Amino acid sequence: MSKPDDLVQGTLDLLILKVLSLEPKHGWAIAKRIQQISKEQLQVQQGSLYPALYRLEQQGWIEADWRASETGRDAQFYSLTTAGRKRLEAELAHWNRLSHAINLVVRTT
Amino acid sequence: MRWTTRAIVAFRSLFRRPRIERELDAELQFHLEQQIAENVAAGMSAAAARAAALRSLGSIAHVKEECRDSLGLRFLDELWQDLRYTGRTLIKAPTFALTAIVTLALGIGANTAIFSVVDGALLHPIPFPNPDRLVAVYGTSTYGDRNGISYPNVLDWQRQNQTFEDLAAWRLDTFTLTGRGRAEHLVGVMVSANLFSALQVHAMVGRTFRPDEDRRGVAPQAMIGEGLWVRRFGRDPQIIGQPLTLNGRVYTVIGVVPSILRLDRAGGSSFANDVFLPIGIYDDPLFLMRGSGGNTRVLARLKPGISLAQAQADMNVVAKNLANAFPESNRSVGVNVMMLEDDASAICAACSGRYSARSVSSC
Repeated sequence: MSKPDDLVQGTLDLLILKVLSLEPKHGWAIAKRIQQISKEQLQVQQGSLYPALYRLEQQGWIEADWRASETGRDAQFYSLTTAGRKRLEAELAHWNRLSHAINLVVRTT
Repeated sequence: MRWTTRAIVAFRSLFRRPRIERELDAELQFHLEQQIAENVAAGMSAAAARAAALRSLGSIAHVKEECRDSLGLRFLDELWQDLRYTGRTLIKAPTFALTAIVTLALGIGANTAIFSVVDGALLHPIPFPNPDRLVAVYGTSTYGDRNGISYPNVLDWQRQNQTFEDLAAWRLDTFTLTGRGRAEHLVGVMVSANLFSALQVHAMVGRTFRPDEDRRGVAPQAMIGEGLWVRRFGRDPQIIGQPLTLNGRVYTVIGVVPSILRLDRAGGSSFANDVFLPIGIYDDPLFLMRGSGGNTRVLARLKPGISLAQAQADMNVVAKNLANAFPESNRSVGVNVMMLEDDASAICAACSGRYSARSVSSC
């Protein structure tokens, strides 16, 4: 799974929400964090990341503001809204159900 | 996203568009620089790092397009393109375009014109004969130009004017009806006897007031409104000649006023006209004071062939005479004559809906 197109539909949203649940991050840091935690297995391309961020913002699940980044340059930081936190819980529950079900099928031979 | 949400987002984005475009550029630029910095840190030359970063990011234009799509901006871009295409097509076929525009303009114009006329003339006409001769007459002062006037001044207006067939006075009041089962609180109107001839309204049953009934010291007579007649008396024509106790005073019912006549202060108060009493029998000391603020309202019918300007000039003379005769109370009291039809803010009138629905601040 190197390309987000390979991700299960909607999983990128879940990953973004999860990464943002800890602290606000800019787009680059979100992509890096996903890459790092997945031990380089998941590489989120810019072409998927930013449209997803804009979409999540329009849904009201995350909000963006400009802040100084660690390099001193201003960057657009995204943080989770209350609605986004609820959304994350719902997506997590859904993911857990789904992955559990898939595991059951895959492991039972 | 549902289309409504999308429309709202697109609409919002439309006004924030320059900012959004700038932010999008800045954000992608930031991402690119981070990637270059990482590549440099990994040991690449600056040029190679930049090339690699650009490669890994893919088409910037495509990314931006995707982002705009998320914001609903692509829809607007396409709409704008369509509109420009429409414009070009119309310019290329000017005859067709002109025909279409003229057709639409004439259609819309004709409809507007017809509905304006229909609304005024058919839906809410003044429901009395020769409405173009009906006017409202107001007092003027430093406080405004549509004031009520004191009753003694009204009496002098009636005596001294040369231009009105009838100049009629009215005022609203409340009454308690007793002696006929359940007591009831009524809104009534005190009118001068000539109000009915001014408006040319006839009693449905019985008769209207005679001039000699419109003064103190005579046996009090009353007319009742059609509404009360239906509600309390079941349309009984035998009501004529019966006694009616209002505020403890006994009146004799002489007629029923049709509901097309409803005198009201404008402003949506929508008072009923349950009873009609002669204004001349009212003996409140304040009411009989020339210098009182005066809540008496005046409607009048112009003599045939008299214009509004002539009536106004006539009343200016009357006002001046009264100011000379009673300087203390009338020094700054003028007169304002308006066509009833044009008196949009009317205090009064008669035509349910048309006047009373409009707002007014002066009363």
